[in-house]
Amino acid sequence: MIRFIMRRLGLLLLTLLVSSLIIFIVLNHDPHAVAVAVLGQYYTAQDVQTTIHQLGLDRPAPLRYVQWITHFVVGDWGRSYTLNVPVAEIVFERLRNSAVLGGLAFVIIVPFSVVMGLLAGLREDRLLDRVVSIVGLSAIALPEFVSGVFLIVIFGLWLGWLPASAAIQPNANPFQSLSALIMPCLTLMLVEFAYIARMTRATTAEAMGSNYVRTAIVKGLPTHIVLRKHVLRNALLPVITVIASQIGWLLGGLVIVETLFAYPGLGNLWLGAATGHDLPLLEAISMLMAVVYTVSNLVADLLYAYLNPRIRYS
Amino acid sequence: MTTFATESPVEEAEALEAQRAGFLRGGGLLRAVRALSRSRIGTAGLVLVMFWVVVAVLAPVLAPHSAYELHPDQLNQPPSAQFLMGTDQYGRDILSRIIMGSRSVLVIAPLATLIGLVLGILIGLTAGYFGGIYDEIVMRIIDGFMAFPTLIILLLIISVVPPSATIVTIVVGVNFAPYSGRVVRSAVLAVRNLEFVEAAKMRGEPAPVIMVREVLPNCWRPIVVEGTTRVGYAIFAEAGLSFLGLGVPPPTPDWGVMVNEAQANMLFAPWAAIFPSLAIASLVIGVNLLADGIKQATVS
Amino acid sequence: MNLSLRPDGHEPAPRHLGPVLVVDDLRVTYTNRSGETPALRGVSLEIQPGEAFGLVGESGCGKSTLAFAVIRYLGRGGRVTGGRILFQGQNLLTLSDAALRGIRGRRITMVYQDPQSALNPSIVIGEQVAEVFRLQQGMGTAAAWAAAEGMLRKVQMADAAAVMRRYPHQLSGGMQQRVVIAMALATDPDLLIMDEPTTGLDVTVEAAVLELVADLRREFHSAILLISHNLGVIARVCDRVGVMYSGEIVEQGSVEDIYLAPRHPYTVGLLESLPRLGQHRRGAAGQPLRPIPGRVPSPRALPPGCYFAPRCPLARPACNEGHPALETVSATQLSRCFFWEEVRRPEPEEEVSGQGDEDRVAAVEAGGSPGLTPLLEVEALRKEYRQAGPLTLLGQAARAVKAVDDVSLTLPAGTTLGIVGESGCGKSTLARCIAGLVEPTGGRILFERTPLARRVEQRAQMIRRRLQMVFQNPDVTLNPAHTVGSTLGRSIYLLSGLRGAAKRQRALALLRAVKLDERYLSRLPHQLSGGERQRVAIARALAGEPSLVICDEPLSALDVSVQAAVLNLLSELQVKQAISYLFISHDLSVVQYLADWVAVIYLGRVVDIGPAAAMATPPYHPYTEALLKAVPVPDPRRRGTHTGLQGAPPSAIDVPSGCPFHTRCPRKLGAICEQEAPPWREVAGGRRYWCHIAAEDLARLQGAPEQAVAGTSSEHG
Repeated sequence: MIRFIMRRLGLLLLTLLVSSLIIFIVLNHDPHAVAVAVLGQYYTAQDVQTTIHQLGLDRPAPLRYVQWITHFVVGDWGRSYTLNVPVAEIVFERLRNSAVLGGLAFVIIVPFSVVMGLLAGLREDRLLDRVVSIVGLSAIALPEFVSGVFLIVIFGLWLGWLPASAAIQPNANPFQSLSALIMPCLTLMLVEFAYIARMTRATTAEAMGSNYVRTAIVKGLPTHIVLRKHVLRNALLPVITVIASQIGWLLGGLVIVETLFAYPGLGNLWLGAATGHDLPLLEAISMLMAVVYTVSNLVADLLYAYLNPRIRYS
Repeated sequence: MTTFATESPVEEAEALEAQRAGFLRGGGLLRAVRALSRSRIGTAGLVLVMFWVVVAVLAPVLAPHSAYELHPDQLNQPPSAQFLMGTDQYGRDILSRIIMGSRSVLVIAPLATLIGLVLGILIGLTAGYFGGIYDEIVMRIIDGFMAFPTLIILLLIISVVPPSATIVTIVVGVNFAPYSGRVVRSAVLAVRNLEFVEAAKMRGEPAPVIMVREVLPNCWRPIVVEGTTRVGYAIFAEAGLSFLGLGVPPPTPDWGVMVNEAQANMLFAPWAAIFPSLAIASLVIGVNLLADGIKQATVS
Repeated sequence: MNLSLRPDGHEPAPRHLGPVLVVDDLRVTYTNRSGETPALRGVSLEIQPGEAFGLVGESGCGKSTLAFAVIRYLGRGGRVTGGRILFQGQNLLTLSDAALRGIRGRRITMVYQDPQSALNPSIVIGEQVAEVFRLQQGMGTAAAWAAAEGMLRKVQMADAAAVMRRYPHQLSGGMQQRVVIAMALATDPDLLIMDEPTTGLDVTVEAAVLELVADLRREFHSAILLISHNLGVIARVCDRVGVMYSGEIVEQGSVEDIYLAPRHPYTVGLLESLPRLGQHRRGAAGQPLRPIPGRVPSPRALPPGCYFAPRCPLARPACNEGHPALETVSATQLSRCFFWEEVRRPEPEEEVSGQGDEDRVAAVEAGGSPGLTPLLEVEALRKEYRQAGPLTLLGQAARAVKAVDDVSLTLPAGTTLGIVGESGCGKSTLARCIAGLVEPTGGRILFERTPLARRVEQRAQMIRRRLQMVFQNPDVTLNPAHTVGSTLGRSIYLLSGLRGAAKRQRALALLRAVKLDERYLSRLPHQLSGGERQRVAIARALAGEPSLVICDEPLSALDVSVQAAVLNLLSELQVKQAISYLFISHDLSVVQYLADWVAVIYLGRVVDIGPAAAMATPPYHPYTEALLKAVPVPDPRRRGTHTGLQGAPPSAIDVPSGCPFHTRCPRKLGAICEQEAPPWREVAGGRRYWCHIAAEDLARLQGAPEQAVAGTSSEHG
């Protein structure tokens, strides 16, 4: 087991290294474009050269890469070109907002989806299963902004129950404007539900049809014991890895949802940085997202390995 | 056991199961097509998709107005006899824009999927067949890509190049390559040690011939399932990018762009946002139903 | 411990008098998307208390369906469409769910084929056994745990206390099956159903499990319904037997009736298709096996009249007109044949030697004499697998698995060398090293006196033409996407260089050689039966006129009656086309039949090698002796021979020191076997074995009358 953990950690570092390389190469391959973006509308060729030199973009690429990476690891993320504030400061402010939004959505929807998926898988092909499958199919179909639009129109416009925008103050406490959070949360939850419920349903159905469940039934065990002891344990195990991968999906969804609802979170910030070619901000947030996603996957993998006797005792 | 979960580990497993189940059932394509026609879900999906395909093909004929023409005196009008779906903030007929917009998404998404699939097959086939160091390296690179949620990496790339339909297609396609590559690789791994491949080696078939002639034809089930699922994601990606302003540039009548433009006036001219959203929703649902139907058909 | 006490401590109610199980004209149909398939067409049988009833038949005959119908677990799509199942007088089919739960797992229990998947991978063994005690007997947690451990000891599980805390994947196949048996016997059931309980287990492990069942029968008075396709297994355990074909019972009787005086042509056919241990095919005239021609009909397209008629040597017009009912042959025997009186098992033939065989016999006995050119020479071959990856730098040193450990063999031209061993012994790896599909770690291989390149890709096409292979699994030996013609055509083109019309002619000739006609050219593998696929695979190997064909367990996945046909084919081809075989199998009776030489492999080493005819008299090496005793012989008179093997085969990762067999050897001398590697001992006739015990001693020990093993004649009874 120790070997397993070491191996996974090694892979984690390797992957993060590759990710950082990818980020760096994509964003830094053209110093000219970066300088132009910073300068805005009017510039001369001379200005471009000056800016390139000022920003240090004329140094050799490997050097810049190493410098960036080492600074990132210690928390020195530079200064935003467009917003002119330390990157770390604004990132963590927005991160908190996003964490609230995403976390709320996640915490509510994951148990719900798992339960629904379980029930659907247990009664395969019966009414509940069909309902879950169809709702799941439709919900997964809709890009977040589409379902977001529907929600805004229905609840914000026609029924007037909820505010159509979540444009709170960036440094305000998000919990104070809870009603504004409801719709963005709901939008995120729809896609998560579809995915997690479908996966849970699949693993449950597979467990139900397995040979060891057959043994349990033939042993004469009462149904509730068969379900609780034999089916559940094996059905829920793979779902753990799926939930972790959903965190990644969530990160992408946040960008869209925060834009639609004008919510001052990390996704919103990231989009602004992307359109504004704000290099330090963009690099830092991208790397942060990579770290979050990779670590959550690692945690899920380790949890899975721990709970799965076949891996734990191999 | 995946190192880092793919977007759809269970889907991957399902696809492999389909392949295994299909091996001996045989009859391949024909049987699957027949099974598909029997599936209600699949047929419903097919109908929806074909509807939009027909609309896209006949778009210039069907659209009552031009998709670009401005009607300055009819800004933000609700649906009426003249403009069945109303007008947007520039006075353009929404219905016509939706009809013409179908072309945008129905060209980009399948093309991007195809690019991704072809690249994925190249990567997955060679990595899966040869294994060894080459495979390890390829897998690490793929893992590196997959450390990002799809959308993020798309945005990353798009942010440094000027947006256009071609760029979107290529970028989305290339971005899909790692995911498709992973699925293809898994399928190849399941096949490459089978005995008919060994028999091919015993008679001296060169490696490329074995890959293309022996291994690849037996991977078609997971590849088809992967392809049809990808199209759904491609539509997602394309619409999402356009919505964020990083995809197809306005004034092209693309559905995502339309929702983007309608954002500002959503509260008093909601139809400008609703109709494109409905269009996207119906297409994606159709594609997903079709994909589900195909997946079931390859297993039965 | 009297496990059959009821929870309230009283003796159980007196057992029901009369048969435990009565199946009365049972009909079961499966429905799926493509239609309905009748699986059982009116099956009737009776099992008395304490009796062991064997149900034998080939794949698709419906025997498993019967088992699941009895326990009412037919799954989706399966429906009972007629008949009754009476368990101790109660009709199981009309019972309520609650009543059913009272019977299932307590009075009727079941053991299945694949023990690994039958156990929950996430729950420890002890808990899985204990829950039976808790829920069926109402015991408390501690009492149930103790009872579970006691049960594991009863099924002869080594180190039961430790096993209680392990997970299923940490046990070997044989141990897993013991656990399943323990769970099934925990409640001292009235009826124990065993569905192919030993299929997939090694021969020695299978023998141990069957011995266990026989022992347990003395203690637990359960009736047993044993289902298997293996006639030997049934003969070893059962009192009465039913033979199934196409969803109905075609013969039923006591085990002596069925095996010694069968009265249905199908039963006779099954018995005749098995090579008798000691039977050798020497002799140009035979003794070829007598397979059953044709194939099992599809359940949806059964022939009119008697279902077996199209394949029956006794068939007459009357057989196509009426469907025969079960007729009474004697007080104990029933047969579903109009002409059962004429059915007789043929006498074993005399051995007849022809001229060609004299040569082959001479070649075999000359062994490694310099006068004869060996076709294949394997010298000190080694294959090790190391468990290492790029990141193991952080962990401990990689361990080596010695799959093949210093193996040396010689195969003279025109003969067959059989390689026998159990799963994991390395025989498949050995075959693949010779074939070039796996690269050996050490040693070398000479083919026609020249060294072979290690990987098949590096070898000359000339070599590849002459060294071919037939594989084990007929389901994946042919590419499912290519027609037979395409597969053959490709091999012919690459190995013979023919194209166009010449290629097609050759393809037809190859098909003819394997007894398939030209219609098969356009067929896809899924349209062929397992036996037909294997024939095409053989045809493919012959495409370049090879001199050596490696056969890696080509028969293991085939039905018994089909095995015989393919064996005959291989035998015939050897004579006609002068091919040598390297024949790999776990089935000693098959190897003895086909091979001239036999090598016995244990944990990657050859432990015994010699002429096939003399392998059994005496067996010399204790492992060979155990293998011979372990093979379930389809003769009820030969029960009760214990192999004497202890424990399970050790894994290849942890090869025991000294003689690797010492952990299980019934003839272990003592410390010397653990410390020193044994020497090679030679016996007359080219026989060599690897053991510390001298030849004379072994001959004496193994010649004792009560341990006699089957010789070349079958008169010993």
